[in-house]
Amino acid sequence: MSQILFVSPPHLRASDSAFKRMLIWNLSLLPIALGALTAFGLRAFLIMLMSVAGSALGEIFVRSMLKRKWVLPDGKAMYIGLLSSFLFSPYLSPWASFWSTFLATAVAQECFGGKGASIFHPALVAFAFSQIFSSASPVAPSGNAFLFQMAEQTDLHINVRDFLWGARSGALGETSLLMSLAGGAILLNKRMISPWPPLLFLGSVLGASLLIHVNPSAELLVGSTMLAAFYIVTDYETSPIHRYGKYAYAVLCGFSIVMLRHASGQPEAALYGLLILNGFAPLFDEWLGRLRTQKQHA
Amino acid sequence: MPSFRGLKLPGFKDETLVDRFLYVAHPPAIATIPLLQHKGAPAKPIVKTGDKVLLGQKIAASVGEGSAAVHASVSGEVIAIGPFPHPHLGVAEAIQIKNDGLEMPVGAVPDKDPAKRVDDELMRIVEEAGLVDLNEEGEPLAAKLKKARASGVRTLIVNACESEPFITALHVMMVAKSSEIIRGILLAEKLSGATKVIVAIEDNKLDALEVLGSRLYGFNAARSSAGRALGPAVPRGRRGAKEIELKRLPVKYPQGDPAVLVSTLTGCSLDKARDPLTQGVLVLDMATCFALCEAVYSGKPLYERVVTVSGQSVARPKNLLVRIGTSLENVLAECAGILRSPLRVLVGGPMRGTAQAGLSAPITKQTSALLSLSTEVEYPSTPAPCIRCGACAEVCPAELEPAILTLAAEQDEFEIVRDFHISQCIECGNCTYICPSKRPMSSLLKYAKAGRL
Repeated sequence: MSQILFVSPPHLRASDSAFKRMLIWNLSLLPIALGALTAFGLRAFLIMLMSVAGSALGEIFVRSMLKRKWVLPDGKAMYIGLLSSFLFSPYLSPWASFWSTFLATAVAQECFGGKGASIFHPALVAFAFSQIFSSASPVAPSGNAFLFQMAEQTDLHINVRDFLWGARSGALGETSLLMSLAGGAILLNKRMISPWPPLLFLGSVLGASLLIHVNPSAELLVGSTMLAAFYIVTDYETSPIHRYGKYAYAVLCGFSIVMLRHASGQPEAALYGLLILNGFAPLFDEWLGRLRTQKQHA
Repeated sequence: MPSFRGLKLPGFKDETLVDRFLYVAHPPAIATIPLLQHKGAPAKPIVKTGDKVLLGQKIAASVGEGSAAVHASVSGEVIAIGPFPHPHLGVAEAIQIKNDGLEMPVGAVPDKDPAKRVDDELMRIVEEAGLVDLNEEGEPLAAKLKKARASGVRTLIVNACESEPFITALHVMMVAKSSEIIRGILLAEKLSGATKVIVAIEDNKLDALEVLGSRLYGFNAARSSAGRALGPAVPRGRRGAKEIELKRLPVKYPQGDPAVLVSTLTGCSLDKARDPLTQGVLVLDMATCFALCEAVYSGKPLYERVVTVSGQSVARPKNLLVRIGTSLENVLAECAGILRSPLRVLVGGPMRGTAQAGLSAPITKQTSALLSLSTEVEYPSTPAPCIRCGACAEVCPAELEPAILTLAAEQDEFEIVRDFHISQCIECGNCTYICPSKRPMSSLLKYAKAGRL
């Protein structure tokens, strides 16, 4: 009887684990990475490789600087690195992508308190950093000619087949719609995310584009709308915990990307819109938690 | 019927129910009967060391509200009164009786038909028999019924939902003792003054539903046929219920929790359901109804109860009728012992049960199960960070945000903890079960609750 455990209940645990979840999220990124490789070849490979390296080193660097306890690699760095690289332009230099993700992981993840504590999505922050580098770098004009046309309301030619297979301009992970959907399908199938936030997000993109009279299919198909629907809006850390908070957040995200894309004339503004909303995500939990309190006392 | 957020846990009946027999355990050679087996203050011993006691003799008296009388579960000699192991408290005052093996009962079968007894008389029997509601809380039954009556309760809910995985005691009792249970339900209905009775059963107990359902069918038919007393001889109150309703509920944890049960069946919020009497509802465990019938019809005080002995490392899992005061070791021996070395021995279910440091503690009125688990459970020494996935919020029956509550509790932010409704937490353990980061959610929530006060 010596090895009896004297512990507090419950004495059953689900077989789920954070590590397993991270693995599935990483797996779901693979189709998109494949899509990027077929579209952009070696260039895409280098950018992705350097992004992952940047993210991993950024984590290691800050953890050792702050003398945080060392934890086993759980795939989070790979996830952030890959997802960031999908938002980068294919003309971004691999070194710029390295420094973008390095800084993003160091600042947005580790300096905010480590895993699970980031308020701003590290991938979006990496994208913001990459904008600094790409405007400074002579070899990197913004890759997304189509988005410019769209933001400037010039005439649009949408060939759905091209969009599905990725034969179009855009960032690494944005070009192949089908691959984004495949990634999302993996997440939904493994029950990593609920289907409602992506659906509400896409629905609100549709609604917002109808509201301001722009081509809704263009809004839904181009840019990182699909990628955002499955990976940014549903992200664990930077979206609310509360179920209804998640829904409201998804709807707001959809509105903000359409509005900002057209108000600013800059296609990149859509992702900045998401970045701004990240800051509001914890407030949804706050509001919903306290709202309940008032109802109870009434 | 409103649903609640809960969990489909492994180990609910199908995998763990071996057979549908109710085995009777041997009386222990030495019974250690704790004085505290109920909600309130410990009972006061009324015997001395060296006294000879009979089976079912009252050995300790109630000392007021929340306290219940305690009876000898074997006949023999009192050999000690003092501190002994207790399954929930560690160590507590208990009376130890050496069994003489004669099984000499005290008192005889009541001469009067209980149907003819007046309520006050019945209530005194309930009180004298030391009946408590046979769940973990253990509120004395007489006090509970009196309170229900005073507050004008309308509905009596008989809780036949197994409270936790692995426990199959109620299922087996329903199959083996259905007529006694129905008699008990009728007595409870009469004593509480309820006008509506609902028996809540999970819908995986098909045979129990069949047995109980067919008995209730005949009974309900008899009741509805213009005042003719067909069926079993039952005491009928003037305000008796029209019929006893059988409600089938989905198998979901924590369906057996009284608050959750009331909120499911009446549709009120969980916070209001916490005090069912304010909703005009009285909740009794089905095992309590059985004990009530035994006490009134056979004059048998509460000195034994049905306990599920189960878990992966028990050689022959069984549902046993065990004398109160039998040590856990003896109960396990009754089930052919332990196969491999257990990692945890629990009194109660796996979600809320108390882990035992040894096997010398006795079975009490509050013990519904004795489990010996050998599954590995990860207990990280340092809590992993919360990844804010929201899985806990998805399974919280109180619809709280356990993630935020525990994060606040770690920082001693008791203000936030209060504002986010920690008082609504029923400590079901769902969040701890589901958490992918294996965070000690329940412990943190308990800490938060304590800090709030």
